[in-house]
Amino acid sequence: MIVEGQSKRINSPARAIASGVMLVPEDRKLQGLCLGLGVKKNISVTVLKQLEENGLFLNARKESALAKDYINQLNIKTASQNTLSKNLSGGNQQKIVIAKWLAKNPKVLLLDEPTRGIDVGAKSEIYKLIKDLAASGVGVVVVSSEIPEILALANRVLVMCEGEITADISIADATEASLLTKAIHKN
Amino acid sequence: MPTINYKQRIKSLQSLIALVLLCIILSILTDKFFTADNGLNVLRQTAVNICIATGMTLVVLTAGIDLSVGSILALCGAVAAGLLKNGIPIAATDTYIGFTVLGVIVAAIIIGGLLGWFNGFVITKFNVPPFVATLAMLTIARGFTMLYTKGQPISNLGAKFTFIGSGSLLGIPVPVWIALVVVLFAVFITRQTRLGRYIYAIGGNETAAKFSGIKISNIKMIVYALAGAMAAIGGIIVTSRLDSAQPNAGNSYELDAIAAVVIGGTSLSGGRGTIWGTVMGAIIIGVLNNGLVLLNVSPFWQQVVKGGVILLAVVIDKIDKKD
Repeated sequence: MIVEGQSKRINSPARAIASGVMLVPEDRKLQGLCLGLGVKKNISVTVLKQLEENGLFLNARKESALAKDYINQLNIKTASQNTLSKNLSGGNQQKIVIAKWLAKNPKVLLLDEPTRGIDVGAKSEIYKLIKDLAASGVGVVVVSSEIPEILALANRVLVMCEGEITADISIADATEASLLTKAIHKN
Repeated sequence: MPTINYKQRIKSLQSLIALVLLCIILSILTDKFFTADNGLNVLRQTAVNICIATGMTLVVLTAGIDLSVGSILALCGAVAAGLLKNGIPIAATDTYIGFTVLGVIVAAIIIGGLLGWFNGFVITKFNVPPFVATLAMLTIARGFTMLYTKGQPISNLGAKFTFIGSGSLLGIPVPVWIALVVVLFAVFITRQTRLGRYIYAIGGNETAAKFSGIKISNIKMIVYALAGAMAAIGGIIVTSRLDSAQPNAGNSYELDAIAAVVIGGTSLSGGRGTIWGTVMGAIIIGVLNNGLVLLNVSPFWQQVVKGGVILLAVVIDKIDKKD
């Protein structure tokens, strides 16, 4: 895998993250969040090293400030920083997962079905967030099976069918019909 | 939602509430219970379980279990006693390397840590369930204890060493001081450090923790090593208190430790629980044992009662989780 012109060997999540490649996984409940932990602890888990004082203990004030920052920035609706993340709505849970990677300054952010099971309001907020990220220079790769979502977000679309890439289309040429055809039929 | 915070607070206090109720009931039933002497006596007896159960809590928080702590306790206690009495003999020159009391303590803790680390290594590198890996270590460490002691107690260890188990500082038994240090160390780890956060994250959702870039294997090896080291500290206390390393010391201590963890409200499925809860759990078991003895209840009934309390703790935890 090549990140910013440098070839990287990536064989574990830890390595990928160290190279700046981060993933918002498809199933946020199974792969993205510790549902039994609070909002703050879920956001800070990726950057605990930076919150350490003397390399020994965590600076609680810095951590709270970080969590507050992202709760405001992403408009995460939560009663408090310590509210258990299982008590939040799907959209707000997804925002926590995105927040924990934003805190880590990704170079490439992979989002796998980022709006699955999320209400309309949060959906448009997440779209705006993705566009802002891309505009700020982060490489954004979205995996989606919703064609309107792809047409709304993408600059370049790779269509896959049965594990193979069947088309590489720029957004100007992409239509719902052309994407669907390539997704269903090989060749 | 302030009601949820309120509920969480009650829950974190429920083992303390149970302990206070238990003490009140026992004070009414017998006037021998609520005395300073008896209180210190209970704490002295409980100190070893507190040390072991504290390490066990760290393991259980990662959704693991450590059945080997009783045997590790015995082996480390035996090695400490053996090194103190005989040192390491060097056959070639017919001399030996002697050890000070501090030296044997450090040696025992290192050995306990290494055995625990090996548990973690097997569990993470070969993907062996913790139950099985530590069950094997339970037998292995017991076997090594028998080999090292040749099945005989190692006794008469000197006043300096026996002070650890039998002495007092400022009116408080030394084992209680040691347990306090172990507990404060673990509280610091779980609440203030990156390692602590990783422990809770792994227990809460191992897949998510892995996807967040946490090196699961390293954290687990550290956790099992800490559990081993804390069992070794328990071993030093037991050996010192008896002025003798018994080959069968620590037999089934892992069960009391697990019981303390569970009664203290730590979830066996990981990610939820506190060190202070475990301390309360260990003291509840200690008070229960002590109270039943004072009330002249048959030791057979004591076992039944203890089992019932464990069952009750788990059932309460399950009901809580449903809400």
